[in-house]
Amino acid sequence: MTDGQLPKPAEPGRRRFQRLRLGLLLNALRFRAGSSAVFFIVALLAVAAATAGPIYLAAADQSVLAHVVIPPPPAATGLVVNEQPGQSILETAFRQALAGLPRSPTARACFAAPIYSEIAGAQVLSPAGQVLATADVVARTGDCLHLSFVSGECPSGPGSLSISTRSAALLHVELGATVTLSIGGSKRAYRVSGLYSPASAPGKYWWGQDFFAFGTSLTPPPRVDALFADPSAFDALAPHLVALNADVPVNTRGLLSSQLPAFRRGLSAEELRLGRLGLLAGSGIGAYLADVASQQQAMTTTIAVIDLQLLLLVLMVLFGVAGRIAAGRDQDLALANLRGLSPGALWAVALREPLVLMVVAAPLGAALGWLVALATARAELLAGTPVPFDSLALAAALVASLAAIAATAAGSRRALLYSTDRSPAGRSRLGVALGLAGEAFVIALALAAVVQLSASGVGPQARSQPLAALAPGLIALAAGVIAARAVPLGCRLFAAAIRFSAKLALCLGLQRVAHKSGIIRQAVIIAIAVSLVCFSVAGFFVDRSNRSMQAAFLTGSDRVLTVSVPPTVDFVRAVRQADPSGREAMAAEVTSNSQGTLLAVDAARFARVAAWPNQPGAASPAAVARYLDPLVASDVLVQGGTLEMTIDLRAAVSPRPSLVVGVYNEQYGASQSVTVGPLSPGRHDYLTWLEGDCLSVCQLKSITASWPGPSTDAQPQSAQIPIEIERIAVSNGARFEDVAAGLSRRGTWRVTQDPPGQASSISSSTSGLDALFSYVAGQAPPVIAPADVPELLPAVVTDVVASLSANGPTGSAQYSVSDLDGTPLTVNGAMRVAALPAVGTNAVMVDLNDALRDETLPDIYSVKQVWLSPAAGSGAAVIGRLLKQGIRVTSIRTASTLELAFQKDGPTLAFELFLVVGVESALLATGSMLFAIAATTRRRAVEAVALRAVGLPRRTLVKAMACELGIVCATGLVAGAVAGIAAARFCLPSVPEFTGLSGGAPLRFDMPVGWLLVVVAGAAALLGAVSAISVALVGAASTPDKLRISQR
Amino acid sequence: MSGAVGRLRRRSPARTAPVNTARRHIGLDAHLRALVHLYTSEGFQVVALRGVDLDIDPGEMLALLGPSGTGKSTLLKLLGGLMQPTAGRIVVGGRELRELSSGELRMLRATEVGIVLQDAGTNLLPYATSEQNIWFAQLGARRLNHLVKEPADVLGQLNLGPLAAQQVSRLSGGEQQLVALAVGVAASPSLLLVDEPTSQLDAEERDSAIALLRAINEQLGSTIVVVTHDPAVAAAMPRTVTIRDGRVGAEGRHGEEFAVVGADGSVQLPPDVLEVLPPNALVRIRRQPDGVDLRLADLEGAESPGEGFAP
Repeated sequence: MTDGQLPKPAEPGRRRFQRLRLGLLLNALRFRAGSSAVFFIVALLAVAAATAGPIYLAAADQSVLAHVVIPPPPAATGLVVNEQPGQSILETAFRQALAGLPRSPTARACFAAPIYSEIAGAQVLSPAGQVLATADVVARTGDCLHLSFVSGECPSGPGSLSISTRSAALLHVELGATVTLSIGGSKRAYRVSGLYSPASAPGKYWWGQDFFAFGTSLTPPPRVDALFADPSAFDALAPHLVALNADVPVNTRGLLSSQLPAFRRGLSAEELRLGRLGLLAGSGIGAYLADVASQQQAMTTTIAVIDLQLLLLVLMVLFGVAGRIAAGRDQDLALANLRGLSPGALWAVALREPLVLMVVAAPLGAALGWLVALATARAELLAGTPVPFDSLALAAALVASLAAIAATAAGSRRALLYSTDRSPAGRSRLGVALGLAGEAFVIALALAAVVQLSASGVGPQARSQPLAALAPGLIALAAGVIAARAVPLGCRLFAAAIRFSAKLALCLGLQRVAHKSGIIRQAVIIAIAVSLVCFSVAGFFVDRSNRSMQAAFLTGSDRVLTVSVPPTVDFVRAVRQADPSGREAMAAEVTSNSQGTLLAVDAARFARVAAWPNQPGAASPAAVARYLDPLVASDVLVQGGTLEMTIDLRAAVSPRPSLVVGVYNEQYGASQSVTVGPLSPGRHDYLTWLEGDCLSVCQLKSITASWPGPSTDAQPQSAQIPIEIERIAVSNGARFEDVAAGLSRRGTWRVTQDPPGQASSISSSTSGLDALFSYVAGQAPPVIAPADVPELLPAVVTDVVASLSANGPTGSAQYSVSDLDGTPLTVNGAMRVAALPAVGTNAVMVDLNDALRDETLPDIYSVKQVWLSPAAGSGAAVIGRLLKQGIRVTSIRTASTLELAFQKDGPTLAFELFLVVGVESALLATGSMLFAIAATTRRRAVEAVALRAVGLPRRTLVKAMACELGIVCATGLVAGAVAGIAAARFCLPSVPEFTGLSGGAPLRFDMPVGWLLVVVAGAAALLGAVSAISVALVGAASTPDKLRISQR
Repeated sequence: MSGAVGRLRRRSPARTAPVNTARRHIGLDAHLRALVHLYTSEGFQVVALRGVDLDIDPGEMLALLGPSGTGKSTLLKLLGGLMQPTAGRIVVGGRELRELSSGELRMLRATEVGIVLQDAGTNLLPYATSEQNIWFAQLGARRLNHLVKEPADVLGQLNLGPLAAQQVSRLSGGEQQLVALAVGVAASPSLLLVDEPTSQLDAEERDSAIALLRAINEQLGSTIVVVTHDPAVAAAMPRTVTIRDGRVGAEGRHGEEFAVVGADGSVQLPPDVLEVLPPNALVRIRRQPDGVDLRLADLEGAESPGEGFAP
């Protein structure tokens, strides 16, 4: 109190008022530092959550684009320009047309410098004028830089050219020699300036053009590799003799996702422009861009849905925080009302501090969102992918800020109405009705979503449904809402039941939950957070396991080597020798045609090498191997030039019959038949000579009875030929050695062909093989053969093959497929699966040895592979041993590479964001719970002190509060865990990431129970810690002075 | 009534009065007629005021005296337009409060009626300085272009200048009460309603508060209504109205006590008289030339002399 001297105003009124306003604001923020900090953090998270998604999406878009368009060779994505058929254009005009292609990185479509080719068809003539070979004369931009010259140099003038070494050898041409070519009928002489190695020819530079087609002509004259000439060599040729071509690489590294539409338009415009100039222009990049667009679309929806859930959770938390902060500002509002402030001014008072905090939090939140997106992008996206803060992110930040302000306003409304005494029962009833309607809507929406998603999502026929990612949030919200309604009711009933018991703490805790609706609402937030974490963890592990399984399955095994096998090498035997353990390598052959794919595997090693995940209803790999390779007789191998057979013809047959022995040389794919006989009654040795192929080794494939038939119509038209084959031997020039033919062993031979209506028979005895051939003139002869292959080759067929009517007759397990040699093969497809390793869903798998035994032609169309198991490591040792046997590896596919590629797919990148969201939501829920308790600490402390004043022990109060918090946390935890696991169980199959992985083996959605238990236990521990801290806070605040303060 | 409010709006935009201008404006008069107020407590209707009649002249200082729960604070809130009476009329400055809209009532509180609630803390923003509290209390008036003094001037005029920059939560209870009174007059109201201004103050602080109220009345000319249960405060007021059981029971003017005849003819007896004539006592009323003689009825004999009451 003072003398009343007034300080002279030292500053203008407006500035003074600004100072007062600012001072008041700062004092208020300082006074409520804790709640202001919580609000600031939640607002920060809201903006960060909203911006991280779009920023990550933009970066992921770019990553997917780069992942799809950069790896393919330039030929796959570039622009190929040719002359229109039948039209020729001057080379200068051709180049001028292409000069108009945009090269600037800022252009809509950006191209690198074209690679021009001038090609003229030529005949190589001998000095006498005979056509020795055909070849293309080629001049291609920079060709000499990409050819490896063995001798000489690049042609430099119109009269010189370079030739491949193998072509030179064929044509007997040397460096410096003169080659005469006929181009368009006119002869020209060229000097050979250099010899190049054709081995250097394959590569990206050549765009797959057939310049190195040595030996590919099926008819004479032979074709030789291209003759590379200087462009000036074409000057003298008429334009119609020269085909012009330009290969224009697209600058795929410079492609930006945001510019794709413009790029497409630019590319189309250029193709149209070139078309108007009389050229044919086309690019394969469209298919890649369509793939990119598809992935980006799935990614956009998924990320938006994931981000939306986090944003909604943040806004819910913000709503609660704002409500509690506003309740803490009730005195400010009451005073403002007392001083006659208008409703607008009251809102200004209510929102003043949150608005200021939002203004500060928005840019910082946007920066935090960018950092989160950057960290996620560094971990998940292709290295070097830019992470831009684009206009979409800015818009998201603004929208999130506005949404946060709206949530704050909504949260503050109750306190505002309370301050103006405008919260009578009528308004509350309306609010309650609206709240109930909203909750009913949420529950109905969640139910509808679950029904819809479970209908489309469970099973192998799952359809891509990005909204499936919304399931955990939606179901958890519904579960939380139901729990928040049901639990207080249950608590009320339970408390009433035990109110006369000695369980005072429990009763108090139950009463609080039953009557204080604020705290139970925390259960909704906890439920959503726990659900998101459970779903993201389940999704992560299911995804990882499926990705790994699918990568191995689609590859075939851990590593698959495509090999080149010399004709003299027994492929299966060589692979077995390269891996004597039988655990590391397996031989396989694949052949495809329009009807499907035949996969032949070395069944003995299948179980230990091939990737064979469990498929519904499918057998184990060991059972598959046993099924494919049943016990059969050994094959009958003959090695030598002379075949001797001891045969006892037990009855005279007229005219005299013979036997035709069929043998097959696998290495050369050559079959031959030799005749034994004519047979004479009684036991005799018969000699016959095999062709040179069997000096290595041949399989004895069949023995066919041959009977010349009756000489006159009066004679019988059929004959019974009873013989006993006692011995089969071969000689290599020295002495005859018996062949292990199993003649005296039962089941080693069987009748494979009989004339219609006849029944030849065989039986084994100690002395040999007894056979009774029933021969009918003019009909197919009876045939017996070693039973070294099953009568019907056992095969594993896919459901697709089984469902195609062209294969498999109805009601039968027999399917006709194309064998490795291209001939028809009937198999017994008794075992069915959804898909086969490496070859997919339209395929048949048989045993390789059986398939090879069934071959009658060389298998030139099949691809030979060596599958390596993880036990082979990098496979270097096996590869080395294969190389020693002459088997060269031409390419390697690995499951890990494919898995890495899966990881960079758009839907995967989108789904990975869920883990980040899970962590963020867990932090939010924890913070929200802590704040909810902290905000009511003072009130709780007053109540606690009052209860202690009436004699309640401190221990009882602590137990009561622990009971209350335990009920809330357990409600949220259980509701969240159930919702999260249910969402994962029902909706994961519809998440685009998983539908994108389909096509191989059926995906498995077994829940990672162990990890989910860890998550739930971790959440329980975290919530327990939060509850303990809260109890401690209230305990510390429960000092007797609280009663006095309360009274005041 | 709305015309009066409209006049408020049309006032000069000059919002800040000159420093040290001891301009006395005329206080508002207030008239309460047959005022009844009920409120619901735990499902039961409780009568807070039952037929209060009261006239308050412009510029008058009046104490509403009575024990707790007699309806004093309710009466104050009704006068301030914070609540609507169940029945009866309240006319403030010639305006019937019942006929004013909520917006007009807010304008009234922002410009013409200052209210200081019981417990100084409820009138103040605890985190703000005294000057900021004054400024905050003037916000409504400033928005209506109502003429108000600089916050520092308000404090200076009430000799509270040294407290201007101090955060009120750090002030003593007495100082907080003084600042609360200053906040009440921040918008230069014509009617100041003060609820229990001395309830938590010691004697010295109480005297300071009373002195400040007097100063406000003298310097601003405001009509001041003080609710108190403290007879010392009431004694310091020129006029005291005693509220008992929701009615005006007695009135003191310049130190002399008077009973008030209610609208229904009832008279509330002072406590000391109640010792002689306890409730439910049978009394004989005899009219005297200068008043009324009230004696305990002795149905079996003559009245006992000296046990009656004569005004």
